[in-house]
Amino acid sequence: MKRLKKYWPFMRASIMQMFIYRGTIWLWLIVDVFQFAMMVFLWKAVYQNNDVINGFAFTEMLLYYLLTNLFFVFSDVEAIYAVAEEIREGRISLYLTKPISYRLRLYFELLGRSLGILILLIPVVFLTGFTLFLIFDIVWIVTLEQILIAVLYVPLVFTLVFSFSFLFGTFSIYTTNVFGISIFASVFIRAVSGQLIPLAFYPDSLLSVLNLLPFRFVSYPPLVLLGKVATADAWIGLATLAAWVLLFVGGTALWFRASLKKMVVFGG
Amino acid sequence: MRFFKIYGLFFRQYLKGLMEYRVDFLIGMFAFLMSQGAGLLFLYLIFQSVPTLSGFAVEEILLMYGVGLIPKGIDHLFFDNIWLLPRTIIQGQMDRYLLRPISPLYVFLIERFQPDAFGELVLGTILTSVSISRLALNVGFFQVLVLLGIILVGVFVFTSLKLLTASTSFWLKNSYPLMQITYNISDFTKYPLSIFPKAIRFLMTAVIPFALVSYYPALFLLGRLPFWQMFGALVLVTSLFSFLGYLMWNRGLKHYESTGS
Repeated sequence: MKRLKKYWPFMRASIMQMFIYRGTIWLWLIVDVFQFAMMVFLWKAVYQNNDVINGFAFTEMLLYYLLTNLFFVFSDVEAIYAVAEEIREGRISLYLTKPISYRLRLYFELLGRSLGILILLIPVVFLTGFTLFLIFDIVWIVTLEQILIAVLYVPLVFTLVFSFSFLFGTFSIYTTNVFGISIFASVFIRAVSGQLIPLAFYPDSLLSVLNLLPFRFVSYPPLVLLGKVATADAWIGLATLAAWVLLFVGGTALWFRASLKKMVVFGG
Repeated sequence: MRFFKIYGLFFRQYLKGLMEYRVDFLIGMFAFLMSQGAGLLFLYLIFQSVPTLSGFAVEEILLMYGVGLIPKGIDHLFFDNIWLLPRTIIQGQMDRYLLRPISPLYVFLIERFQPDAFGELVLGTILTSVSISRLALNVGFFQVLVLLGIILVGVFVFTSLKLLTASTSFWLKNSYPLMQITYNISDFTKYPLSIFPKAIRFLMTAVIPFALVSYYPALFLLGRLPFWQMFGALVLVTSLFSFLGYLMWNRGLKHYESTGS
């Protein structure tokens, strides 16, 4: 714990940084709300002749997307941009000479970023949710245990996606098209995690492949809160995810050490 | 004539760059192909559970999707530089374009050629031709000609809206969110317009008129909308927006005050 303490200022600083840009962030969030509204109409058309599709009722589907939007702040691939930029601009060499871990510093910076956005996002999600409850007469029962599990998933999901994005960020040693890489990575995560559409919609053949990957756990918090995953399974999932995270963290550590040898920074 | 010659010169330089970064080109193309692929996957999965969406079969929706994707791709290919306008203005780099003995807009537009767009173009073409053949639509010489016309005019729907929203950054500095919200709406025009309430239908027909390049052309090809109604609206609205975009750009240039460094 004491070792981690020196990284807190980085986290605090980036939380505060998000507040500097709160106007812009809120503008983005309004964009999201608008897109969410379009989504509601789309699903309404899908549910025109069905009450339940793949285990989801219409209102459950809306809640699923609302919660997915909320938890999405922890599965953003922002690390790609951060790593790539520091490599391309050569700033990475400044960090490497300091007595702090490059990856941990970045981890806490991005965690702070996510927390900052979360704070700004909560009122928006709350208002959107409130409106949905009023319009569609939604009844939603959630237990304390479900909330606890969902919260416990968050740091693991964040670490998983962070490691994954960090790995992709180091690809900028080999290519300059960082925008392309980040689109690739974020579309991939969206599709295999259930952010695009609940994984229950996938055919069995595809699901059996996705079950081999850890990314399905990214959508577990909303699924648990909606009661779509039994709490017993969620606890097992949590342990499985923890093992995956260890693997990912170890893997990126090794990969990063190898990439550092390939990296060339001009000047200083 | 002079414009074409200059474009040729720029393009040759650009190709040299492309040859140097071949992997970048492949990554970009693949990324945009995949990003559209995710949209297709979504549609596919939904149609596993329902036979029709607002009365449209999956092939009919793919037709809307495909037709709209082609002008979007062409705009992305040639006029991608507009996305960089806010940054150019904030950094005071607009001075460069103003000093040249040719239209600043022209120089600004041709500065970037974006081959990532081939992903969208390829997919759009495949979707359009496959859905036309699977629907066994009666597509003759006239329809092909109209389709080419839609694509040609449709490019300017995207370009003019981008120019219009980007040019606000001459005053607002950062007009990214505005550009993004406009552009994101084009993602929703791959669904039939009829699923949306009246206000949004109006919005996507006349205010952010992406439906003019996807939904209505598809209705025309399906034989549910007369040619003149579809094409007339497209030309009318596009001319209006091109005029507004150009006006906004010109006004903005007059207002531009550089950064003083």
